[in-house]
Amino acid sequence: MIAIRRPATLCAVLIVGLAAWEILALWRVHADAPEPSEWQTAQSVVRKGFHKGDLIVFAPAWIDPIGRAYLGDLMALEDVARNDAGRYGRIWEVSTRGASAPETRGLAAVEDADAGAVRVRRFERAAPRAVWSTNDRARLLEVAFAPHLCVLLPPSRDAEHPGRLDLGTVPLGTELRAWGGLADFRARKENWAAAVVRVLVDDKEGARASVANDDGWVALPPVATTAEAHHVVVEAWVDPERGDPARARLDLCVAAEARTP
Amino acid sequence: MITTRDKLFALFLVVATTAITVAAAPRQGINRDEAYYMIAGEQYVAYWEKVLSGDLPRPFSDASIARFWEYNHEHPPLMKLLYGLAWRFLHTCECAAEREWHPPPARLDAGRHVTLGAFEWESTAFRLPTMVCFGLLAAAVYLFFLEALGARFPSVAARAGALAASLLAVAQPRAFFHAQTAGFDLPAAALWFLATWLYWRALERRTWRSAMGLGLVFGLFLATKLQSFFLPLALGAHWLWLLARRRRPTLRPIVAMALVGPATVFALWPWLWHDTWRRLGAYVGFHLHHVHYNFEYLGKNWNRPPYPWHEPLGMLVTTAPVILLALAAAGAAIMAPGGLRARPTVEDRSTGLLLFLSGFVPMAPFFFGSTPIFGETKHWLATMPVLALAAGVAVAAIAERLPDELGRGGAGARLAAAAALVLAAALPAAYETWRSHPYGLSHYNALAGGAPGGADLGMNRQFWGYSPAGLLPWIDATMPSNGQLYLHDWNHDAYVMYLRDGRLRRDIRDPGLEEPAIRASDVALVVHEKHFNKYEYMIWDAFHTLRPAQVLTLDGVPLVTAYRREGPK
Repeated sequence: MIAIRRPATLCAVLIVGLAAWEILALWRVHADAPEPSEWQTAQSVVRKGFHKGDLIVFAPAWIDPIGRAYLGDLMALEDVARNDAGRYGRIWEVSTRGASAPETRGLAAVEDADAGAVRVRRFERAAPRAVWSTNDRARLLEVAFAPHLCVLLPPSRDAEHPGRLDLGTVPLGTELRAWGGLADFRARKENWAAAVVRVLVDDKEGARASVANDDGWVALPPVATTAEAHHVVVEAWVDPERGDPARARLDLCVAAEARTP
Repeated sequence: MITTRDKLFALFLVVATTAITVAAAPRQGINRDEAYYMIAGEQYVAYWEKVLSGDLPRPFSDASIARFWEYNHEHPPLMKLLYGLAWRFLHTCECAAEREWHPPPARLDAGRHVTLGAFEWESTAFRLPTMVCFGLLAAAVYLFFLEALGARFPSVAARAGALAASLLAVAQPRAFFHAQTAGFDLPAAALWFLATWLYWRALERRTWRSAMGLGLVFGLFLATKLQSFFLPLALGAHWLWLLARRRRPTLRPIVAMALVGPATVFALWPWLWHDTWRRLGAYVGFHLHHVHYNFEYLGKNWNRPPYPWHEPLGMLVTTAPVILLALAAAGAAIMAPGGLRARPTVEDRSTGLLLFLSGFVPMAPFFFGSTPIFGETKHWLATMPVLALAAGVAVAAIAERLPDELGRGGAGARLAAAAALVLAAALPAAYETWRSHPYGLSHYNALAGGAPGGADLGMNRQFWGYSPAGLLPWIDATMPSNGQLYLHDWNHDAYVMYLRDGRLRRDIRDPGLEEPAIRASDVALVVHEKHFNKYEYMIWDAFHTLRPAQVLTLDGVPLVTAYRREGPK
């Protein structure tokens, strides 16, 4: 064991060092918070290059209300409550504290502007376009604590007679995507079960997934389709193999979107 | 060990701590619970005023008591009564003219209360007793340190340790937050600590007088909050330990707690004077079956068990001043059996074990994963003075040896070293507390990275809906005449208290709850907690905009977002 010759002196130095670090660290946190002028600068960068249909995302996600206070008029509900970012070819990422958004992961920025504590980056990529979606019949709900435009589909207790959402015969592209999640934190609190969601295209199963409280907004496997009209149905029932089916309170909400390159 | 100067200094600590808290309190918003307790306090004090003035026929009948005391009977009465008393003597209001804002049993038909008029805002008058408790806690920590731990150190070092402990007990963002509320948590922590001290004393003095003092304080604690039920576990375990070690502990403190405690709460709580057992059962049952609220911890919204066992530790490590945590760890190592600096025990009361139990038991129920965690740190505030005492031990130990190591053993050098150490220990905690104010429940420490770090970690942003107070000037300036303001988590009773205080324009109306209220409102607020996101989406839908009109932040972290309706309803 190493004997410390001056333990009290060492401790005193450590205390003073820790005190200085704690004060400076918290002062830095305060000083690093973006000023309104920096948000204004960031806003003007985005406005200057913004095209209709661009996606704006904020990182970290919790700065979203501040970002929308400056740029909310450029953002459409369909974009904020999107199913995913797959169909956006141009993405503006407005960030603080060195954060980056999951929507821009793996992409290279084509524009990068520093506005003090706020950073604006623009990303571009080839992206499919949506040719059809459930948005016209959807409502805005909280799913996984995020906004989603989706259609409520009560699952049945019996897989033989599932809850059924007939979306009709609709024009599809090369890929049909579907999502599902459990809406409303109060309903999830009362729910101990999961729902099976199944997508049928022309009466054939295209994809299925199981959705429970903590699964979030679940993307079903993509269904390859041909670019013509098809009959699309989404079905749901209580998953007999997960959780406690007897205590189901499943406010299942689903969405679907057809995409083509 | 405690001199007259120490007692005078303790008195100074009471006054200074209380004064600072009183000065700070008006900036802090009124939280959901304290608004209820203010109303209850006004009713309870009105009862006694009418009883003493002979204005209440058959004052001890169940009907008369129920009229005043049925409200908020799920919590014991002591602090509410004290809030009512402080309000009754110190407030300023036009209570007859504003009678619709007062609880019906306490309304004045004409005239005004004769008061000392010490506070411009009624809410500050209500809150005063908690602030005094905070001051008393600071003094109690100082004196207990000297009495129980100070003998291990030379005079100057002991006082440095005592002062550091006292300052670190109050310079904590969350403790400071609770000290400014008309809530039970800080008083409960102070009474827990005081009862522990009196128990420790009663073990030595072995007199009925000292035991009765403990019994009375335990009774006051029983009359304050349910946490009091856990104190006998801590003290009882310690007593049994002494018994097992053949230290022959006196039974008097236990007897006094068992007899005087319940008698005190019964005497203070008229609600129990009729149908006693059923009402007592209902009180306990309310808390045994308490609803599980929503609480964000490490990115997940928790609202039903099983909860993560480490939640109290996670909250402690990310919310307490880092200097306090580090010094407390060092102090605990010094005090531990076989610790770095073990000393012969100067008394046989196992003080270290008592402090450990007193600090651990308040937190213990939350390790089981089944206790609701809606109160985040507030339900184990009593742990914090114990950590502060351990930190004080570390400061005293260093202050004792530092001058000798530096070859400066003179009295002046000892004093200077002690003062420098106390300053180094207290300054970051005080800075942190000052920076967090008035949003102490949103504060996270330097380890977490401050409030933004807490948001990154997915920690609880806040609770109790108190933070919209920071938007009051904007609301007053923005709202149309007779406009409707959707309050969200800011509750109606707090809104009424702001009206009574004159802090909110009196034509502004509360449209109520949930989606119908949002659709009826001109301005709508959303208080940011993870599970409250849905209310923001309801506002988007009703107001046809995604663009907030105002965002209240702490170090860049949104606390409250306000939307203003631009088009027709």
